[in-house]
Amino acid sequence: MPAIVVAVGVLGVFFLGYRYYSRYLANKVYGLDPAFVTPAHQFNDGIDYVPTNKHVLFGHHFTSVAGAAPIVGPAIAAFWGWGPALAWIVLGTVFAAGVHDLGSLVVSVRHQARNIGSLAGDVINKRARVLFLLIIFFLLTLVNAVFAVVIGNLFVANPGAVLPVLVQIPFAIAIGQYIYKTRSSALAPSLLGVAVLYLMIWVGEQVPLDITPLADLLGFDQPRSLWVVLLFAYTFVASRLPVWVLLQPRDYINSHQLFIALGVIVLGITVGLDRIVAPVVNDVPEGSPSVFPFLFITIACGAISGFHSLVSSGTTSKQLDKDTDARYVGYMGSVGEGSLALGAVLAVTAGAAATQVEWEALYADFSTASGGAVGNFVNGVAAFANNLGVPLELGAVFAAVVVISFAATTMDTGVRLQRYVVQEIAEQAGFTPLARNLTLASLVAVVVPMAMALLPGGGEQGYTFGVLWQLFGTTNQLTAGLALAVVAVWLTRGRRPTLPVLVPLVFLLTMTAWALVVNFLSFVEAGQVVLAPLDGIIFVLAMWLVVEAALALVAARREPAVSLDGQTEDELVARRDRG
Amino acid sequence: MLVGGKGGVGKTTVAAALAAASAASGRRTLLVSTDPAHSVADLVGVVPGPEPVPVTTDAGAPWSVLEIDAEQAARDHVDRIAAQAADVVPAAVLPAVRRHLDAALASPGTQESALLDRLGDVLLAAQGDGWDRVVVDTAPTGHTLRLLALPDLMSGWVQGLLNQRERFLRTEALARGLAREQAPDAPDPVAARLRERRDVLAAVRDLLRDRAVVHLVTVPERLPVVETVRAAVALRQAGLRLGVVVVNRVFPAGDDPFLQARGRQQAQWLDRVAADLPDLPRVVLPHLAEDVALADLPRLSAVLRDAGL
Amino acid sequence: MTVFARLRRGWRSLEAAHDAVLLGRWRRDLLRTARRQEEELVSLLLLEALGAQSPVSYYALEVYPWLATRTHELHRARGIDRLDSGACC
Repeated sequence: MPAIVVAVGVLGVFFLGYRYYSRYLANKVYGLDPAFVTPAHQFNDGIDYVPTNKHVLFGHHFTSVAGAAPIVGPAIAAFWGWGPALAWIVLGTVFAAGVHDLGSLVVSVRHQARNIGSLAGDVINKRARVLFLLIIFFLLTLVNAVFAVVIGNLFVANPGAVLPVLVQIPFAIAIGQYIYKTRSSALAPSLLGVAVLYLMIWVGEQVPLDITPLADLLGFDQPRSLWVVLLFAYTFVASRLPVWVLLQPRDYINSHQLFIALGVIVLGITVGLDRIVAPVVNDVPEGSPSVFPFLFITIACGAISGFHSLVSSGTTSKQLDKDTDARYVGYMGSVGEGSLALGAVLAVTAGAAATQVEWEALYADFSTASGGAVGNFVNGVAAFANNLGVPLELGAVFAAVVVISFAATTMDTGVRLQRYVVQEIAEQAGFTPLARNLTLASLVAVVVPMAMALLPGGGEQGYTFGVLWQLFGTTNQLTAGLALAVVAVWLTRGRRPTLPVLVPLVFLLTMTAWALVVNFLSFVEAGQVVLAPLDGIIFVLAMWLVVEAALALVAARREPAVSLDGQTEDELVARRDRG
Repeated sequence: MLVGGKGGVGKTTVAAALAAASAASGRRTLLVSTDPAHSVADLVGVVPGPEPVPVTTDAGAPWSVLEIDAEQAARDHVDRIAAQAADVVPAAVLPAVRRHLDAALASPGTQESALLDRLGDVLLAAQGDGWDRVVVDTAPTGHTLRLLALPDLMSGWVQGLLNQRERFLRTEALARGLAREQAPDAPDPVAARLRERRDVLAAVRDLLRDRAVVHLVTVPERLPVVETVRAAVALRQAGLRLGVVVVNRVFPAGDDPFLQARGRQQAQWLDRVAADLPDLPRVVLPHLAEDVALADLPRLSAVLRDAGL
Repeated sequence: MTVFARLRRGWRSLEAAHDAVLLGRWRRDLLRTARRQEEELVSLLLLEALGAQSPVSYYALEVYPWLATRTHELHRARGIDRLDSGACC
């Protein structure tokens, strides 16, 4: 089937989901109220709290949540065939992610734009805040570990991408300086900058930087490991710089790359009419992870991602102009992410291989599939770019640069967040030396995921990656589960319909717990001394979450109903006092 | 030329004598009193104010005296700020600003700072005002030390504040650049004031370090001597140049057994000064039979002039 | 309107939209950094008001009027109604 037909079909469902389901959510479930005075107006300080045009805010929200994760997960999950992968992406986006992203945004807006962690402590109980911190700790540890591996693999496979990625760093800073100084619009210099960056791709192709000799010299087991170490060293240094020095300029360039990559995929499949060569349902070899439950933790970002609740609450919620804008910003954020995942599935099923036989070689077993997933995405995008006249090799380096740039800024952000999480956990545990020392906290935030990324995975390169990726997926789903639990408890107090939240919540927790148990047994069997306990800990967190959510829901049902409409008396009084 | 020493050793007398000596050698001389005890008025018979008042003695050239009133200086400072505040602060905040300023006026550090501030002004203006030499009669030792170390400490501190303000302004300028907003026309008033302050403090610090000489006054007794030695060490550490040690109230030699006993005792303490501060010249002033008066100054200043001061 | 003028106007609005969407987060971080730096300065200057002696409090008073306005705004935004010293609001 031509990829463009599938794409149009999926986007059509997304449109219907936005048109009808999000309207139901907005009116009947969340009760959005045009008269509600949002925190952006209530606490307007011109910096964090600023009423922002909904399209602009959507841009901020989407560029914050879009990253490499909705590319990697779907690229692996194509292993089960494009049917299950796309079905979960579509259903997840419409019925889970939309509910989750919109819900966490609304709850935050109704609670002075507080973040989901503090809301967990407030809406559920104090223990839930600790639970949140622990889940986030593992989420960030694993995200940094998997992205280090992703980048390492891409650098090893595409040595031509090294130079453009390196050049990007001074480049981003220079563009920043130019905009500061000239006070001109950033559009023209940025377009020029990105053009020059892509010229560097061509140069990089002529000057590939292969670190294999250096890795051999230093005695690394494989070149990827040297990259992992270098990446974490970079991340440690970069995360000590103020955000606006390097992270923001890089993120800014990435946003352009995101739109260019999406454009290449859409135009490529429109012009080339590439056909999906992968089977709808793949006949996976004996002993592979089954669709249930593993598909649902392999694709987290792209179907439903707890990470979005961190952006929705605490950041986007501070800038929402009207309560009713939440529907557009929150729900469309998840649709955007779902579209990115759609692009990834199409790239690996229509672009990466020309025939079904070729495809089946790429996805022969789960280990090959997960290890090669990102490479397949890169080659798929290269094929789409080729439809537009870009040579295959250049297209591949281009796609690799895009994924690497995304993953690298995610690592930078992840380490920054992680050190606060580490400090807060240390604070809660009463371990002051760590709680007060930012350098020490940064070191913990860097060394733990690095150890995880360097962990030898049963001899096969891909094995560790697929497994680490799934563990990352479980923590992401637990984060989403916690956010959904907060939303559900809040809705229960107001006697609003809770099924739209409870169904995805129960489904997610079931799939996650199930996958954790199956994996735990196989880790124990394989004698994995690091992964088995890690899996066990995450399982305990999952069970803890189930118990807290159930207790809080039962308690909320017994409490007298509370009105969730408009501002409470206290809030209005507080507002009046502030003048 | 700064005159310092423990309370009650005759600093004011020595300072006045130094001023008289300086005037006698033809220099236009100003004596500045910072001693809150107003002891200079009792000695010279005129009541000094914030402006120089001439002092005429029977013998020798006239010189002038000025007294810094720290309390008044602090009040002036605060009033000036309050007047400025009225121009820049919205009316709603003005009462809070006034309250804060009044609270600051009452705090103990403020007067000391005001004293130093005025002293700095006088010293910096001295050359322009035509004074060849300024003699400063400082407050008791501990106080002096703190006072003299302050310009150095404070110019560093103000520099720190200025750096912080400039960091802020740089970041704000970057944000403005991104938003395509023009830079404000007027320079930042906060940075401008801090910069001005830093320059004045640095000038006072340099002036004290490069052109000031501290003469220490003591009497040949245990505590004043010990304290003088300690002060000398601390002042040197603060980078100030030391002049002489004036040993005041030394008994004349005589046959009287009491005088002889006192003389031996005093000689012992004089030796101690010589031993502990070997590189500082000593000038000995006699103990007078009666309370020192304006008429006695020529006699004392003659001794100081003989010592080359 | 000429085609050229129309194009130029289109380009200008594209620039405005681009900057609003893609520079917003960057600018917010700069403003946040600037605010923190300003708060640090205000805290240093108001140390005395908060009970600690600082050697330059005498000169800090001079810049206080300019900072008082900002401090006042900051506290209102943060919901701090009153400092103990009565230094604000």
